[in-house]
Amino acid sequence: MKTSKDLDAALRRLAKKYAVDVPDRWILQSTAGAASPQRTTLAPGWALPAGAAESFVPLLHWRSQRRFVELKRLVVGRTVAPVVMCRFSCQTTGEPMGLDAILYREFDLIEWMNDSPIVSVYASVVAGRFANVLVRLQNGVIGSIEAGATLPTGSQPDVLDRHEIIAGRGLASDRAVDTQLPQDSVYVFTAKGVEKYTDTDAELFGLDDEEVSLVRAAYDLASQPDSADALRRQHRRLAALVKTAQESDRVRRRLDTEGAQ
Amino acid sequence: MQPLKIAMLSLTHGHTRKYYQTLRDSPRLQWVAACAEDDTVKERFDRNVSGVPCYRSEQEMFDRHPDIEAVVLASANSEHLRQVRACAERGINVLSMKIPTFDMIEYDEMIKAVDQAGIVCQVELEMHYNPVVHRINQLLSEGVIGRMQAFEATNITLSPVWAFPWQGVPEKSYGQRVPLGGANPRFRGGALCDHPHIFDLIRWMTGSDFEYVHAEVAPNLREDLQVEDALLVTGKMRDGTSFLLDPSWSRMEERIPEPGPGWEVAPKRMEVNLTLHGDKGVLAADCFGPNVYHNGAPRDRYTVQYTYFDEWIGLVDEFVDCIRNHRTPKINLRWHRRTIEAMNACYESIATGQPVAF
Repeated sequence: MKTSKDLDAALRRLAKKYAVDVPDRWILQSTAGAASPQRTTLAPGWALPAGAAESFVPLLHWRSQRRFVELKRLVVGRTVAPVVMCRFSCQTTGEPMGLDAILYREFDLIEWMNDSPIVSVYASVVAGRFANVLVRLQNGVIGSIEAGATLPTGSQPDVLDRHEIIAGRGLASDRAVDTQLPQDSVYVFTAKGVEKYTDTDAELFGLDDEEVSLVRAAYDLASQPDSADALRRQHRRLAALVKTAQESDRVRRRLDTEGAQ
Repeated sequence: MQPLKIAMLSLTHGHTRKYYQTLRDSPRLQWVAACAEDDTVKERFDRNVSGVPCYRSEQEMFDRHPDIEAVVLASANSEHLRQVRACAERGINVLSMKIPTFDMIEYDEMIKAVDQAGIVCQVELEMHYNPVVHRINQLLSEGVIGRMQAFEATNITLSPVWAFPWQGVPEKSYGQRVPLGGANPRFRGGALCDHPHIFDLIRWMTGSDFEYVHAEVAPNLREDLQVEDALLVTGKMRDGTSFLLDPSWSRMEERIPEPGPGWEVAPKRMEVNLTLHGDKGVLAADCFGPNVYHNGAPRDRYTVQYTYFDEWIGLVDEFVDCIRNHRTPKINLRWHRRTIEAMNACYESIATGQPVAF
């Protein structure tokens, strides 16, 4: 795991290569950190409170991961169509992504991939560490999200997820058929055990997929600074959706989301 | 750094469409012109690319764009020597496809022409810029699996001949019509000619040279091809590393005239997998995985949708850097010559039925 300093340095190297301006006051972090009027902090949206100060820009960096880019491409290009249902799951060790963070990311992914907002949520939550959630999108697609911050500390992989899009014609997934675990690109077997590596970005070699996507998302923001407002709007929406899910469990009712028609 | 003014020739190579994207997207390049092999190719180009003039005559393209600094030779192997000479005469740098030529006299002529003109000629072996390959090399240099003892690699794909017909014509792919030998009715120029990467990677990863190769050709999967489509290669490097290479077109395809969705019959149309055995461990790698998967349009078959194709960024970075800073690319004609010799030795082994030392 790289430090925030490493990520920030990687962003500035990439921006320099392509002559993109990254203001000096910007700092890219993998966690929120404290607000400061002297700087603009770019951090994962799920790490920020709903009412984060204007000095923060929430990054929805998972959208930069190639597997999600390709899944969205399959939907947008109608390779799988019409989409009727999405089955998403994500398990973590709880650090740094707890239950709310998982829900935040998966809610965004389902809306972004289907280009349609969630209009209702029903959640069944256990001990603040696990949730089974059903959502309905404005375009009629339904989705399930299995979210759990329940993997033991030290688990490898430390994020276990799967995203399956089911359509009248075809099914798309980021996991290979007949498998349960994510694949890696390199496996090394030695007397010390098995080491695994998945390198996806030659320009950002040495960063893992999560870190690569953070740097890429920050680079995209630097390329299009105007997109910060849209990111902040979606952040507020996602934070509200997470709150709605928790409330749904408490009242045992399916709840319409804010702005649902 | 000033963007490099670049053009493409012929537009008939299998990597052509990848270059369309690369030449459009890279801020290091300014795509100024293209020249199509024939009217059909030009029509396809015009359909896919806008804002770049496309000619039918190389001479006209060069005359109208004297500012061209480099070209991508996206052409049949049989065209390469002529095009390298034409570029060398004009002082234009060359990004060569993966097979400059199989004729070693022609090959040395290319080296001479490039040297005399003082131009850069880089051979596009894009695996050198693949992040998984980068990781493997890092692990090897750290001694994680110890001294390498065996190397197995696949470079297997579907056959591109229906979209790129020259790859099925011995004179255009291999450079001449040479029978495979024995009772085999086919000719040199097929799958082997399409897959130099693993012959290159083993040299790079072992730091050693070939001692001998032994190759066996299978009965063709596609009986109507004039060239081989399935073969296996084994042998040893001078450092003792045993190897097994599969450079086949063993993944079947739809016979469509333009690559696109639905091309695959087998789920994964292209694979470069490596297994390296050292005296301290084993390393297994998939250079193009993991990916995402679907069984949607247009043919409803289970299909691998690739996610990692950024090798061309590093390749272009190196090419531009070598031209601007007068450096020699890693994959230059001299380095690559031995790889081509190894591939020729495979054909000789197929013909004689015996290992070939070279």
